[in-house]
Amino acid sequence: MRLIAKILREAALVGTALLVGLAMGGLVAVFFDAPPLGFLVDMVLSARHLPDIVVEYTALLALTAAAFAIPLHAGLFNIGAEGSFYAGALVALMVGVETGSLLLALLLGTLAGIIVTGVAGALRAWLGVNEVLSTIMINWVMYWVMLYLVVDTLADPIFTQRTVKVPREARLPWISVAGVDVPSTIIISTMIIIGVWIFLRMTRYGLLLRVVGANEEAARMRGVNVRLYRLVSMLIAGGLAGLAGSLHIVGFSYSIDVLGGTVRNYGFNGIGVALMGRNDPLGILAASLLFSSLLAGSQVVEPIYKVPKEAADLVIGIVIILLAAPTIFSIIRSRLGGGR
Amino acid sequence: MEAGDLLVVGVISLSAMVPIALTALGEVLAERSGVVNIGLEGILLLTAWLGVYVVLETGSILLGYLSGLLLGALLGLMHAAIAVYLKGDQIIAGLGLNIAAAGLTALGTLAAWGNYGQSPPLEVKPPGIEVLGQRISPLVFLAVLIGVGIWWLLEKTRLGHKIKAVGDDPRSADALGINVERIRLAATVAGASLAGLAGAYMSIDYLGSFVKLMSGGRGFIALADVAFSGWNPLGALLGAAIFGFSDAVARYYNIVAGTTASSYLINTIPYIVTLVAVAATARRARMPRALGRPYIKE
Repeated sequence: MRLIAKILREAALVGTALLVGLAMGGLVAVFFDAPPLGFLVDMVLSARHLPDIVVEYTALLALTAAAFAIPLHAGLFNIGAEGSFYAGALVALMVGVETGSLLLALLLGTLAGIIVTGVAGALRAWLGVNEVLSTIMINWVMYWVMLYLVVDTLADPIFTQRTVKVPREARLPWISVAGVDVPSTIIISTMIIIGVWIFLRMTRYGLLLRVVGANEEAARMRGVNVRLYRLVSMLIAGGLAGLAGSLHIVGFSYSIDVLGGTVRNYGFNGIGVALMGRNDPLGILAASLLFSSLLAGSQVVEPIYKVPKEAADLVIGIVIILLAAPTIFSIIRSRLGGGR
Repeated sequence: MEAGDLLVVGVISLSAMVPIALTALGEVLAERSGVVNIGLEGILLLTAWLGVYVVLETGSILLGYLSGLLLGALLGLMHAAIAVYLKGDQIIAGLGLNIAAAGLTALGTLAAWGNYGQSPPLEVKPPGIEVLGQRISPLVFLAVLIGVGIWWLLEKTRLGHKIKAVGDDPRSADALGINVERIRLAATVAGASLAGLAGAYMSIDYLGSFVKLMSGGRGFIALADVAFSGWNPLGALLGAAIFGFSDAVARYYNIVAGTTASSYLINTIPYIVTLVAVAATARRARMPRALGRPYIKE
């Protein structure tokens, strides 16, 4: 019963923040001479016209969100999913093209993600470098390295606006579930998120990881190697983000455009998904579906209402700001109720 | 690179250093009082947008800078409300501001200038003196003055000692009758105002227009500079000079080489320099003890 009460409380919190954020989205619509209510309803509901994209976003954002959530359970703010996502996408593309092996592309793409976020984890563990700063710097380095490789090394000689494509044999197939064809990315992603849930809730390592994040001193007293636990949380995070980038290439886009637009923002949006999902793996699954609908929906309604799809970013940003200070809602509630 | 080119790069670095110096100096002040603002990147972006908008509408550079300063203060007020009074999570609030700022400036660019990428270039010439064919803005000198001023404030005045006390040990400061929340509010607002000035400088002076996502990680480089400086304003000036120089080298090569694939690699220089500088100094840095933690009275 206590669990249900807690879930309801969290849902009410996230729901309220979402309503305020959407209200701001409505304001934006007014500014662009669009009917606010119609715009909002269509933005949320029209995602159903792009089921493939929603499913794909959901699969990838759930992984990058977990890449933020796991280090946060250990007390670290990992902003590096973006850079590891690029690395995973790049390496999966190169390996896929060179070897034609799906398995190798996924494995080495994941490894690339581990290495990239691992640098920040190691800098934190041995030199005490703040992980927010290091991951942001690494993201920028990876962004420019990616553009360099995309333009210089991987460019398609005929279709110059994108890189070469991974060959058919290195692509992820769709799977038939109960008569419906589903991309295997969502199945892989869902299984991994459930794995993360089991890991955090039911394994000794996961429990101690959360002790490290909740009370560093208490963890030390119990003889936990805090530094090692945090480093491993960053390695796992890098692997999840690298896998997400690899899945994006072998399961969805098969190439990268010269501006990098097809691979951008999965890492950053994952942070929003993790916060909205309250850092719980199952919450993350729900939040990534919601987020993906919002992102896809904003693309559908852009040409109809002439409101830029960036309206979704504003909504998401405001939701995150509100979720940073949950006391905001209890203060409003106490002001409204009885005026005490 | 020849000797003459090196001088030109040196002059460009002075201009490139200003936004990082101003932002980092403001953040030194805020962090000394115990408040981290990860949303600096968002403040830079929003005030860069507003600065150009105001100059285009009014033709006045001064009004452009004032509007940047004011919007910075307002965003600082919002961050302080969450961080100081609502005891919220400072990192998450800042991340939210950055995402909202990216969305808001994209919307604003379309609304104001009818396209997705940039503003028209400013026609008004910003003030400055010419050296080697490069203009040096008066804000270069202002940034150094502000740096020395904040150092003097922190080290030589009673108010400075109060700010440091609040950032190191808010409970004792409170016991001594210092208003922890008010000091943190003031430091956060002042710090964000300087970031606002930096944002307006970037669009009005450094670039001469607004371009989508033009802050390019400078808010985070400034945060790195704060850690590099050991929370010392004079160190932050030195750090800004180093980062400004690496920025200028990248910019210079891009002008010489044009936009080719290899210029993409050169763009990584400022970020790598930042990472190495922070890693090299992280061990000896002593940060304010109560940094990032809300103060809750018992």
